[in-house]
Amino acid sequence: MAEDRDAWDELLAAGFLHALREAHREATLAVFGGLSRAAGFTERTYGVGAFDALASQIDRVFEAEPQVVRDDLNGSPGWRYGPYRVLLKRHEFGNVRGIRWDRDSPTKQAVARQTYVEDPQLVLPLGIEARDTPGVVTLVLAHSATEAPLEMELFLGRPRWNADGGTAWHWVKPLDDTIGPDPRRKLVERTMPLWDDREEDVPMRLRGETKTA
Amino acid sequence: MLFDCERLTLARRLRGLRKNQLAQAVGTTPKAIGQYEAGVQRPEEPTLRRLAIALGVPVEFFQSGRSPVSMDGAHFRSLRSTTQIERDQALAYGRIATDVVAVLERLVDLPEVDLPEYPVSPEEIAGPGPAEAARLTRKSMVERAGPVPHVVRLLESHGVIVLVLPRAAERVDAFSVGVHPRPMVFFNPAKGDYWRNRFDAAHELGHLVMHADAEPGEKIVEDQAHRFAAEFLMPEADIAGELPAGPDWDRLAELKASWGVSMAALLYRARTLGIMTEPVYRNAMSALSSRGWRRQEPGQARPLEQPTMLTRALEVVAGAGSDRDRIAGDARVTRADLDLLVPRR
Repeated sequence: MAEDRDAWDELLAAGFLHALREAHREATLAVFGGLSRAAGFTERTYGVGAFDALASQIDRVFEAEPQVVRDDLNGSPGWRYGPYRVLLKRHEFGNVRGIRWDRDSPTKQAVARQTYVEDPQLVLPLGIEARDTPGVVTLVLAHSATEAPLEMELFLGRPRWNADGGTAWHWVKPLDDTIGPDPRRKLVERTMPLWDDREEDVPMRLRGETKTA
Repeated sequence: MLFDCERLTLARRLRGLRKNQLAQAVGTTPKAIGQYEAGVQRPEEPTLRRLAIALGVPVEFFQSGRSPVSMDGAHFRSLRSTTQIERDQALAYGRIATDVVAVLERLVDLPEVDLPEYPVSPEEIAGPGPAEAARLTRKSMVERAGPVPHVVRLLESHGVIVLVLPRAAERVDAFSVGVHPRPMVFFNPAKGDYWRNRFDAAHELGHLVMHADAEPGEKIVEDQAHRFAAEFLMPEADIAGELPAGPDWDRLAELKASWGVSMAALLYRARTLGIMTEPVYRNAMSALSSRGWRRQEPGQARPLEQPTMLTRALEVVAGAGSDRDRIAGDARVTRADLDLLVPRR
């Protein structure tokens, strides 16, 4: 089995990935729209704001989707669909692969230490702890954005404990425009047009045009 | 910039906010908002900017210089089910629509206002006035007997501004305003019911024809508008011979499709014309209820009649170089509000 493919396909088909992408766009625009560098806001202000705004936006996009439940880990905001839980991580723009989990919060450290069957490293007696929550795979949504020019980065992946200075991810994929059409849209598609457009408009002309025009 | 206190009230109503909600959003007191709106005090520049942001309008929105248009004579249905805030919001949309129309009228020849007048006394409870008014109106507006093909376009071609209530004002039923240089009818598409919206449009036409002076909202006046709509859409002379005396559902479904009125309206018509007896009518209505047809009648749904006059007017002026941004600016409404009131196609 290839976990990356299974997880990705399942979350994609459910519209979960599209919802995350939508939330990230909304949050980024809201934060950049509201904070002004001229007024003294800095990259750090943006980072904190972006984290909060993203969490709120994710709550909002999943409001009407009972299959997605809020599932925090040690106070870190999380959302779960089936066996997959997603936590947030803001990364330095352009450097998603350079995240050092061993220097991150204890929660993220624990997540990076989850067992991963496809990683041969785990067969070695390294003393790595078992996964944090039985039956749940915790993934990380890595997000970043720059203001000028406005660019956004969003990735979903399975973090890898990289105290060894090695790769930060067992797998990681971009959540961008390449993920295809949004499957959630089917739910709201109208079966008929709301308005009838067959009837002719009333005749009208610009003022001053001759009547024979 | 000269500050116009009424423009602040207008913007607040447009957004459906109470004074205390607006006060909270800009960090002041409801009393201060009240004083700004009453013109007792002028907000300082920073407050003015915060007000503009909280209300989603440019600061210039509050500039003075537009003559106020009264919306006092608006005929609202079922006044009790809507709040003052909701009605104020709907009227605020009406108010900015008049600003848009005023700008458009300088640039295009909209159809002339051409509605018959047939005042019916608001004291007349069961008299023939509304039916006579409807017959006269049909004679002057509809060239042929039988079903009215498109009520909304008929109103537009006689110079009436027909607008769709934005979603914000969802709980407000259709309403009309006759006092203004151009009569206006707002209707609510929320229920998505073609037949009901047609009846609403005919009902509002009844108010415009009969009730220029009547006090809006009176039950008798509303009943008169209903009777007007019934005769206007289903003239006795044309339909009496077609209506069944009993609950013939197939026949009713056919009539519904050809006349563009609901089965419930047809049953009601059959009873008021004495074709159906009272007990038969009651049984038919209870059958309608028990089958769940009062909520949704059987038969294929139809897309709603769409007002297009203002959309078309904006297309015409765009062809001559005045795009939507320009019209919105001249009318001093936001582009977003213009798009909401007059959708593009």
